[in-house]
Amino acid sequence: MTSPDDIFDRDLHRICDEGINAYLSKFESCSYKFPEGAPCVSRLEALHGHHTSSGGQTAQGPFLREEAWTDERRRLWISEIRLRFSGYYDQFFRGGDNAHGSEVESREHRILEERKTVHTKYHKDWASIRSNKTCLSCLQAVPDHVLGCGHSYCPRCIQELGKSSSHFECAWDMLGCVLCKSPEQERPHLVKLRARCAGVRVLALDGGGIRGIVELILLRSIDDAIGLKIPVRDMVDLIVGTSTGEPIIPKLLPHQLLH
Amino acid sequence: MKDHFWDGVCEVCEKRVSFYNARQCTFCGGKDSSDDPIYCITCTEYGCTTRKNCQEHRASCWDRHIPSQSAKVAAKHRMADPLPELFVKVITHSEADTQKLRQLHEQDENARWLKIRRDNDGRLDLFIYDRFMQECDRSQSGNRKTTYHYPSFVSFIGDTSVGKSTLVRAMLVLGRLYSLSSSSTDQSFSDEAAIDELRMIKEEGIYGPVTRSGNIDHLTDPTTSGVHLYRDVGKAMFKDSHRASTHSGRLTQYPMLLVDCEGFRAGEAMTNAERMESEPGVDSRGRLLSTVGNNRGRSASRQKNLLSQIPVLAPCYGYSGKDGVDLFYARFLYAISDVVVFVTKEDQRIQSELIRVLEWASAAVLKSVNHPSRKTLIIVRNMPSFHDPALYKRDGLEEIYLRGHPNLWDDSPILREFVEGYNRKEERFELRITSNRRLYEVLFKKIRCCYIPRAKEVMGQSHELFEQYKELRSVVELSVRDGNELRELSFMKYNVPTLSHILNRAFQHFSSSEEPFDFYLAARGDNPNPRSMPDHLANFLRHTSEYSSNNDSMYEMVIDVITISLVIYTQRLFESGKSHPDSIQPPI
Repeated sequence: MTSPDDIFDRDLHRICDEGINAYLSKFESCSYKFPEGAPCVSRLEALHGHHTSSGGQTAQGPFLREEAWTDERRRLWISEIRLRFSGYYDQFFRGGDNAHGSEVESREHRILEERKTVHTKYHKDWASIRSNKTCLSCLQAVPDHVLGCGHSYCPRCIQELGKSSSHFECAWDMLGCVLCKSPEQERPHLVKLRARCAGVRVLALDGGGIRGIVELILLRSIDDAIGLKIPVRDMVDLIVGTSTGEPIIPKLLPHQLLH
Repeated sequence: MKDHFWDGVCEVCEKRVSFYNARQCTFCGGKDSSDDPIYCITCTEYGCTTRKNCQEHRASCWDRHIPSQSAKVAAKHRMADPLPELFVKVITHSEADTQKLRQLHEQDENARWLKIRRDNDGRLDLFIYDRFMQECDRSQSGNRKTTYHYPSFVSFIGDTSVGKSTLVRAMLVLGRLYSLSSSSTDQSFSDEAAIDELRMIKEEGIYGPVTRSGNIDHLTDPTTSGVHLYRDVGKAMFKDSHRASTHSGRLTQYPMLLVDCEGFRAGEAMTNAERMESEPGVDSRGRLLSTVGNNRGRSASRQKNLLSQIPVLAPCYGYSGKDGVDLFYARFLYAISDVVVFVTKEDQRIQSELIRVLEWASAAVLKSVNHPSRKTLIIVRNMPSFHDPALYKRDGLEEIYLRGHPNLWDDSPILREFVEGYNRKEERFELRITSNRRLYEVLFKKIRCCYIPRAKEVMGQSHELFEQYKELRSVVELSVRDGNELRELSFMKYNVPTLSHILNRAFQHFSSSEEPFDFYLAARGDNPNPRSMPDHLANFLRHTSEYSSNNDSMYEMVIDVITISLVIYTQRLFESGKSHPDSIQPPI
């Protein structure tokens, strides 16, 4: 039987190590503090001649590394992560040896609950931390969908954390932000995702002067043939038009979108 | 006899007078000599309320010095306008006293932005000083309205002793006079206020760069060391009346930074600025003064405000002595400037000078990416030995300087390579470089010429020189405005902190590489662009460290969030594999 430590050492240790290395090489800031407490804002060790504060103060001195990232502290960090990961692993993945069907769902549910508990524990801190480059909920993908509070989520997290919409296919309702606990006040935030394996549906309208009438007739014929009273614009993801196709686009869009 | 150029003794009443209440006569001297007579213009009639220039009583010393027998002769006696005269004196004043000169250089050291020095082993080091952020408004760090506070660089380059520092000082002093204007849209100022301001500038000791030493011992020495940066305070940088009315205060102004570069072709001669750093001072009794740095050799450099010291590793700058250093300055300044002012005084060498400027420009065009690289070039014919008022006309001077040359790329391998490369890429024949005019168009947005005569040539006619300085200033301002308009159309717009960061990147790039400098990558290179889980983890650590620098308080959160994300990662991995975790065997 594979131990949690083996699982960690196989891949996860590398992820932690490389992540810390990337942070230290690209983003670490000088930890120098001016006597009044203002931090040094001069970035990057390579260009560090002396310390500057955003208030215009300067002081001589080399780049000061954060104490937290000494080799010893770094080892402690990773071993602490390994320890906690082992605990979680035993809790979620060792619960039942033959987890199938409802048991898998139960495990997913328990992980989800734990995830919400951990994240909301720091909701005051999350209120000031936002990123449009990293989904802070999973730290694994670039987020696409921003909630009203400013936190953004990747499609996978939307599916895991949101509630499947009862009104739209392949859409999820986010009932609030799990990071900062801010509820969606008026109505849930609806996120429409592209169905798995679905391509991007593009309606391309050609030019050609009077021949534009051909595509209009064609669109009406398609609309009649489908007969579902769904506007053409809702059947596609993107509409593009050239020349005479361009003035047709506004006719397909709802009034409020145009304004 | 005047003991100071602000005041003197009236030729008639022998009272001490100043430019506020006395004038020189254009007929009785008035040739800018210290011995020229000066006359009171205050009316001495009892009870006169007009006081100055009273036309009713004609009882001032000025009126008495005019012969009364002939109106024709009297008409020749005209008051010299004091403002141009004082302006020219402030601008062209050369300090001869070594002690004062030392003080001036010490003050001017604060304006130094960068400098390249060779150590004892012949290695070049680039010293960067904290000048840019001192001169720019740090509070303007928002991303909005970037165009209103993004500074424009105007670089003055040219050979040593052509008068670059004097020109920079003239532009700065003119900017200060324009800042006196009460109206925000014009550049008018009253003569009295301007004279007061000039007096203040003189009393302050230094405004702008230190110019040529008046000390005979320094006759052969260059002056400026490294590249100095000065912020213009003029009010003239308005986009247009619409913006001036809709945006108040400084937002309507484009800050203009004037760059005074060390003279080219000075060889390894020690500049006066360096001499003042390294020579021991001498007091009034001739004793050696012990000041900081007296015993330093030339290879050392000032530590005050030093931001960073980077070794210059790119081979093109290291192998050819001072020419390599000149090349570095020229390339760097061309890359960042909106306006390049090339100063020359040698008419006969204008063709070779033009080739040199075009070579730098061609290198800059090739070596900067994602940045408007077509600058405005202003060629200043500064203080040449031959004077002709006809050259004041810009068109005439441009005709002489720019036209009539054979194809300039014929004699220059660098330009020939550039032209051939350009023509190969250009499909349309009419856009290819087939003439000098087309070459100018490709390399520069426009080229303007301006003539500044020597003060001696226009002695007694200081207003001519004053007008020429104003003309140059107006050409610079218009060019800066053009540069701003060009930048507004471009995609790349930066605010002051970003520009500071880009400049740091540019220093690093130019000192280590001969490859093109990509402004876009420099601006965005340090922004996170995570593509893998370690990248996202690093970005998360960046966010938390920016949110709170107290690591202990964030420790629990960071450990918890990273651990739970690893659990999610594992869960997703297992789900995608559709297998139980324990069934996954470790790799052999």
